[in-house]
Amino acid sequence: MEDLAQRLPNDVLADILRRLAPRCVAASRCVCRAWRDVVDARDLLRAELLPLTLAGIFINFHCLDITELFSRPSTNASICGKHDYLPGVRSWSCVLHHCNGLLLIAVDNDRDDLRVLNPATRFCTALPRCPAPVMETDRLHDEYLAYDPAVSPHYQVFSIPRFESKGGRIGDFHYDRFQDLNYYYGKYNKIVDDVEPNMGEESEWSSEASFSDKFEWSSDDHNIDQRRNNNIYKNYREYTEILGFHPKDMVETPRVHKSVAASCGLVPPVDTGFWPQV
Amino acid sequence: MAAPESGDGNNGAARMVTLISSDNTRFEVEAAAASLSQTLQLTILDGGGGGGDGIPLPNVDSATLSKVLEYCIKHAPAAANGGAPNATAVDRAELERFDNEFVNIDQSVLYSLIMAAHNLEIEGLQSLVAKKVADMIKGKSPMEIRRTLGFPDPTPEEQAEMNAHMLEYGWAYE
Repeated sequence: MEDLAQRLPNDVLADILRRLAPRCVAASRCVCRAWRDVVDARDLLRAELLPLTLAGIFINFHCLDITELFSRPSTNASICGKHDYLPGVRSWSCVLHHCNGLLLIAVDNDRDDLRVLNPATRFCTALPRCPAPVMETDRLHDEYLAYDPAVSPHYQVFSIPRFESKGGRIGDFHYDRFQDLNYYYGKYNKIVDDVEPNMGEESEWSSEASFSDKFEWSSDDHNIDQRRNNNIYKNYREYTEILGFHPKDMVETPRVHKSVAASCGLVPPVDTGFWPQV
Repeated sequence: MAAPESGDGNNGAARMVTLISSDNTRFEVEAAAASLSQTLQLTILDGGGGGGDGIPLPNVDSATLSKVLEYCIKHAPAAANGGAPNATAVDRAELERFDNEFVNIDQSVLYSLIMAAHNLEIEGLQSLVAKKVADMIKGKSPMEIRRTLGFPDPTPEEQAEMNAHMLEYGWAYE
């Protein structure tokens, strides 16, 4: 019987292993030499789908314009928090966003000098200057990176304007018109350039927008302790902060559902690399 | 060229064929059921296996063959309907129940079945047993897989390789 288990024909074994999730295939690869050979010969192990180890974290401290890297010294020699190895970078840069191991950095905190960096391979591309959004005022905007190596070798960078409240007091919302930020599974591919903020109108999603219901929130519905808010949120400004992109959904901070609109800088494919596995 | 006999031809009594296991036991079974085996299908289409001839299967013993035929007989009607697109939900549920119970067997029997399904090229049975083994492997470390499948203890050399793997991929099992 033992012999039988070890002497499964390669076709049969491959048929079995093909039904397993990547990490189970990784385990099976080490069961014995014959199994490893089958996994390798047929390319059954898709390493890019394995969960990656956490080699370190970047932290943005409030009021600091640089990003610091925290990691175990022993494990992470190839990744450096300082970006002085990049041309044109004096020392540090600011990590604005990240996605699956790629970083979006602002060199010397200059929002007009954005680059996408793979810190593990030090591959770096400068982004073309973001086309100015058609806006009534000179608004602030934030850039976000979307990248899923299991879906596509391309990454995309979204530039999403902040819509700040005019009142400066929490709960004093102006409803901006929501723009649809469509993207399709596997493509992240929709450019919204028709940005027409329509202040004072009730917000609404375009019917095609897939990630949220119509938003309704009036400040009357919420028991907000104004005194406390005035102290804590003295300089508080509401704007949507996007935590990340997901193929099916968009994650937002729950607090403020203000409008999102995007113009999208499509950038060429990057040589993908990964954080080193420990 | 003569057209091959139609697969769902139910002209009168169902045609029977005889299969002979490695230990010389004879099994008489409907041709439609035996034809689930790609290996046997051509022989049967050519008119083999009928009468006193029988088709010898030197790689399959009688215990395994009877198990294989149990599967074939159960699945033959659905297969005759071209993958059973018009099968009722009840029929499908019944087949599923049968399949689950069918592979709930001793590992030695399971291996014999794997080999027989492979040699006879019975597609449904192949994927049924492969799925069963995959379920046994799922979520286990290399050492646990070895134990589950009844591998002998690893040689020191194999052990060293597995240790190296755990260093590289150990986090995957946390």
